[in-house]
Amino acid sequence: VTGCAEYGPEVSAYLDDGLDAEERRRVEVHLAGCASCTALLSASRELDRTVRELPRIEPSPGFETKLRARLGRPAAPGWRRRGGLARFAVVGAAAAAVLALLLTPATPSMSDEDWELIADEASFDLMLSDDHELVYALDVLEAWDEKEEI
Amino acid sequence: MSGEIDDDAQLMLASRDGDPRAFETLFRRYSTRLVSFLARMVPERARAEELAQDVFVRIYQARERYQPTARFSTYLFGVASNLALNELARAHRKRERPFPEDAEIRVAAAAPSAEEELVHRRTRERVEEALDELPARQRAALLLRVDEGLGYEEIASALDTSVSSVKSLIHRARCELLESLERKQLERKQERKDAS
Repeated sequence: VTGCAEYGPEVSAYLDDGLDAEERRRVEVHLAGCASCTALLSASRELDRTVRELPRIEPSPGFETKLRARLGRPAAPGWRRRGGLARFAVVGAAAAAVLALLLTPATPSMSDEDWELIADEASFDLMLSDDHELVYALDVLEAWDEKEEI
Repeated sequence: MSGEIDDDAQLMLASRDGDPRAFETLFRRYSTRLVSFLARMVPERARAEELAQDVFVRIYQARERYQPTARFSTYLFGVASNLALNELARAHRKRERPFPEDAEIRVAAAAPSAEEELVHRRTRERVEEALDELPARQRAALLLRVDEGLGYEEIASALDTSVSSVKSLIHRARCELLESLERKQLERKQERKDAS
């Protein structure tokens, strides 16, 4: 059940309200004459209903307590609010540290978890930031990927 | 986001301005939804909870930088998707079942008969298995659309991709799920035939 080659993706978008008025009208005209797309629409509706009915998974009883403990602790250095040069300094230091690890892989100064944390932090900074000055964070992530491949 | 700020974003702004109850309200609204989403994205329930905590911690710690440029749920699930996809990229391990025995689950259907419930349960299990087998980005896009009600533009923002890519991801996800369910049904029929 995939719909026809031309209109299949449009049928999915139709179901998701992802089309403008003109596109919707075109899909409706098409649906009136295409059994394959009509079957896709019907099966997709049923599928979505079942997915929506999948049970929600409640957090474990200790979830909130653990979160409160984490929020109550001082922020890890990488997560303190930082801006301008301070941000460059932190991310740049992380990049330098990762590169240092790559150059001297036998040095057991930091664990894999430490490096994962640095890469995660750099990734998060990139995601939260609208500016492009954090391009240095990419160096960290790329260096991390290279380390993973080694 | 055009003009109006949604209620959740208002709470986030209040949290940014020092109201401690505002973030707690957000936590109560989203903790189950977030854990559910992440439990369907990563292999282990315990890891899903850790990631959910990471999401809350990161958002809380970044609250002073928060700008309501999108619905809060788009922001939250964007952070969650990013963490989950990073996790999956790091660890190429097979996903375990997301419903361990000790999981407290909330079933949406209202008091069906035992027979109906059995049929529903089996259908849900088959859909869950098929979801497991989807590529991670397809799974994320479909769950954000169907389960969380995000629009295509919001999903594009959450997954850091284009609207046309989201459209394609969701279409392929549905087709692959339907194909997988059809294949499993044929296999079961064949097994019954072989057994008889």
